[in-house]
Amino acid sequence: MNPWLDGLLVFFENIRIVLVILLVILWGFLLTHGLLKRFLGDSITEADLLSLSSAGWVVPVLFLSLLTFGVSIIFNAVMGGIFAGAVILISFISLREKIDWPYFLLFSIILFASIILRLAFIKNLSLPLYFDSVEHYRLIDVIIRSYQLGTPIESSGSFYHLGFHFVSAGIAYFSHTNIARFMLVFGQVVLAILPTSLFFVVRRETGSIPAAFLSSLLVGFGFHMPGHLMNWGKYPALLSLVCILFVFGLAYMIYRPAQFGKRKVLFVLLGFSILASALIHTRTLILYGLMFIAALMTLIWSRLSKTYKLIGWGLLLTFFIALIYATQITPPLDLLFAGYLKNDSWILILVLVLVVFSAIHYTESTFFLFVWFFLCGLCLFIPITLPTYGIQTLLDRPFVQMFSCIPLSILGGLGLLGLMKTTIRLLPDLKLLQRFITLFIFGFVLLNADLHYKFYPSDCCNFVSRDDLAAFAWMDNNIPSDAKILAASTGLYVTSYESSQTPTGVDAGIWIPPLLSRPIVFAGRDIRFDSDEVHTDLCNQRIDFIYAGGTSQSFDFQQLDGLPEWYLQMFALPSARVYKIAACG
Amino acid sequence: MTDFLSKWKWQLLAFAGILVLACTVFFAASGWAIYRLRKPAEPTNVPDTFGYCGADLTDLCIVSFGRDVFGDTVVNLYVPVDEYPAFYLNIVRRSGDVRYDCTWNKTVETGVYCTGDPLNLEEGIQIQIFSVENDSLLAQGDFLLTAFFVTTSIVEGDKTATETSVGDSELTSTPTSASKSATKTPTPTKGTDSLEAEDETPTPTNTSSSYPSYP
Repeated sequence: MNPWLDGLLVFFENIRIVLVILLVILWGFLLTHGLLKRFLGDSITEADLLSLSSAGWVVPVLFLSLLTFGVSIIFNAVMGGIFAGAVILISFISLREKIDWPYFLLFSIILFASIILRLAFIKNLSLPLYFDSVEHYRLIDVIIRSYQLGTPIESSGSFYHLGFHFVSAGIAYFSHTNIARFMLVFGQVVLAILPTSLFFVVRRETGSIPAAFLSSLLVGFGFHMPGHLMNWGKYPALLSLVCILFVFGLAYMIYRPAQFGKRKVLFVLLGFSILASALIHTRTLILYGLMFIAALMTLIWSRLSKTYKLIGWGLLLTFFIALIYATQITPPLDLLFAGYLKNDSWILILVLVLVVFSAIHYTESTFFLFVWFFLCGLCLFIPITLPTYGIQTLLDRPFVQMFSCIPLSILGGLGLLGLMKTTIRLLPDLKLLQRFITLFIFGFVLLNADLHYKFYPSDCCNFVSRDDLAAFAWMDNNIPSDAKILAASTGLYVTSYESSQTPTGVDAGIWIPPLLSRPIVFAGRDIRFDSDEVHTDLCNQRIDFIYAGGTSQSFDFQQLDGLPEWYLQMFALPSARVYKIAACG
Repeated sequence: MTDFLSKWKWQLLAFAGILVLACTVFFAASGWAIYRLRKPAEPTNVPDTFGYCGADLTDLCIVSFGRDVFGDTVVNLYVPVDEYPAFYLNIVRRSGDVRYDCTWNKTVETGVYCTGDPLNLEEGIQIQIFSVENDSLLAQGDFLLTAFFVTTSIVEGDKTATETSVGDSELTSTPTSASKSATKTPTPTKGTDSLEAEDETPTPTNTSSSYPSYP
């Protein structure tokens, strides 16, 4: 498989959706670019603006989506569309800030190449992956129905990550795009843009373009995150990561007032961005709180004497090692580092080497990143009880796993410049060697991406096979609209405090409610269908059918096939079966 | 860097322009080639040929064979987007032709299944795809049903297609649906160890929790 060719094929197959998404992003991008340029003037360079705007686009797009939805509900969807169009037009006319075209073209070429590479991921995918995406599909569908009916949202289930769902529903509705297809393409486009957002902070901190590029390269194609999020169907988390980088960039500008000034404007922008971020993913608020604490701790630490600074470093590293040990011995948190060790071992080794140079030359920034990273890890062990979700932790393992690539990538960038500085100091005459080091590190990361980076979905998380699609089409035509269907599940197992009674789907059966509008009831895969009590119980619960998908955690076909008088095989393909529960008396 | 960009601004602009032009030409050519290769099938004297699906889903292919409760054989197809109009299958057997009507998945338009009279194993068949609109032949393929040779879509890039030879007992195409062939009386077991240990009424909502989420 060639990701370039596959990506190109997907691009042309989905060219309309890709262009619609890019247009929306371009609007948000230009608006952010214009606003930042107007307010910050010469204190910010074009490269910085491009980097910041490639993260900031999400804020205006989200608020426009919310306003458009509001107008659509008050009046109708046509008025909503006109309103959105008018806002876009007015903002284009009123914010005609000059763009530096060489930069923009270079940026566009890099972005386009990145999009093509990322699109290869969805080549053979018919529906988004894992169980999270089902809920996102459902919520987007709920909002689109509101658009269609002109009525407020009616949803019986929980409603969360509003920001992502409103943005997605708005674009999908007005572009008449299939929700599943939209989710798949949107995720990949966002993923393609995300790395450029990291450029700004590293460049401003180091003044080095190679260091900033390395950080962007590491977060884009070095670590398995954030690309692996697509395997989990965590689209809101991905969008929140874009927002996190924008907030981080704005916070950085406030933290360095000598470089930027205009703090009032920055605070206003920061407020809106944090609000948008919270709407997309509530947990980002905790991340910002931790960022603030880390900045405060770093400020205090930086004012200590040299001896106390060293003690501070010693304490931090000791706590950090203790945290790593604690996560390693606490299932299921052990997957946090296991994920990085398994997928990114070579890049981790590189970053570990570079961290030493980062700590020597960018001591304060390195200390801040370590503290922030440590506090995030610590939140995995702090339980909180939420009314509808039960016992959770302040941050969960997938979120921390997603976020970890950010401090690691920044440390990589800082470390590169640190290494260059060290080389210049130790070997001032060997200029060729100095250049070779940078080229070697970039080559190493690119070679690693070529050899180890996964441009295609992992087999861990795809619940839906082609057979499932045929089974769904058959069920839609052949089983009653009010039929209740049994689907396989397992307990949610993300934090060490989680109640094992929270079921999550493990095969394509989880897609039945949103796609076929028929209710499902969950059962663990270890259910014994040959037990008369289980059969009676299924009858008592008035469950009509059993859906068995082709994943390893789904129901056992053989067990069901062995009891044809109780479980009548209705439809059978190698990876999908439908049974009718019979002999209920 | 800013100085560098200012100094080489026009050279960079020219380079970027050439790059954009080259990209435009390349992608336009690629797009045209793809369009030429994948334009909707039209009635011709030389219909497309197709076979079983491999790891990559690009062209029309058969994903798997199966059966339904009515004793009919199910043919599961992958159909590229916008390449084929509404169609039905004509299965050419020794005993004569059989028509299979096809149904599209509403959400994923590349998923199509067709059903019709049961097929027998050890039978050589030709599957022809005809347009519903004007009965023109769109594609055809020869299949030997010594066993139902099924291929399920593999998504991971570095994997090859898994092809499973499924024998009579698994997916026989003779009209022996579960209801007809079922002669075995269930021999239910009284509860299970795990359920008894919990001492509770077995309910379908019990879930196992040993497998970590988000691997």
